Amino acid sequence: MKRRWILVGLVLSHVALALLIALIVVGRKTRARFRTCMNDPMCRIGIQLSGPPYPKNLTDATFARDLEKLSQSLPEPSITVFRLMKALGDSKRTDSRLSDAQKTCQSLGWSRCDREDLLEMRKMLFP
Amino acid sequence: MKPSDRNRMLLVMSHLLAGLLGAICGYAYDYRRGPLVDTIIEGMTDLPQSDAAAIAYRFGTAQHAHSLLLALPVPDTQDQSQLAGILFRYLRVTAVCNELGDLSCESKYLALATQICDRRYRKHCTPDKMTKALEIAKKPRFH
Repeated sequence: MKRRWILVGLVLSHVALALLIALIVVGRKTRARFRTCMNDPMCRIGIQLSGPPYPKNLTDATFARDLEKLSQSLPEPSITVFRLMKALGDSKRTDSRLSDAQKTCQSLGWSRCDREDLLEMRKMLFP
Repeated sequence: MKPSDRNRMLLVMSHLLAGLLGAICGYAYDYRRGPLVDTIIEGMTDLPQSDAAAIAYRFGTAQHAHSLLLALPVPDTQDQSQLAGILFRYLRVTAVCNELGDLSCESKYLALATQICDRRYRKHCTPDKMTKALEIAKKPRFH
């Protein structure tokens, strides 16, 4: 009886160790992949434009800095459209951001910028 | 070597082997699942520009839709769903060029769309079919 329990304990300790090492390896590799994303301004913007909740280290300030970095490499209205998209995403939590979105939309010179259109845009971007 | 020492040695060696096996399994799992994570990250990186082009096409001016659609990267791919996405994008550019009255741009992108259509559906995409596809692509803009 005692021998059987020793055998069970041995098997369990081997399996647990193998699982732990496998999890550590997978965790480290996955984290490394996401770290490359967090080092790329476009990927950071992508995370913030996928809607709230945002990771804690991605704030409005980092968003503004990333837009600044990308402003040279993207065509003319991209940065303003990203601002519009961010305001629409934020408006899901804070209704006042919808008026910011409206101002940004109007600054683009688009004809469809009333509340209904903005809600339609929001639904399209953040279903 | 005493039997108790030998047992201890065996125990350490077998745990080392179990750890090694765990590491190999971890790497193998990552090797299989890694491309999926990379696809998610690529999607996250492409999202701002593709969403910007989509809302500009639906709500924006023709000029903005034109420049944002053309700014999207064109992957060199054989993937069927990606080819369908590129085909649809070229049709949208064709529609916007038509709206801007730029005939050379319109015919250029319609020809590109036809090329992609031939590759995607592995048969000749007739002008009639392309006209119908263009009408479908135009819909969200004039919705």
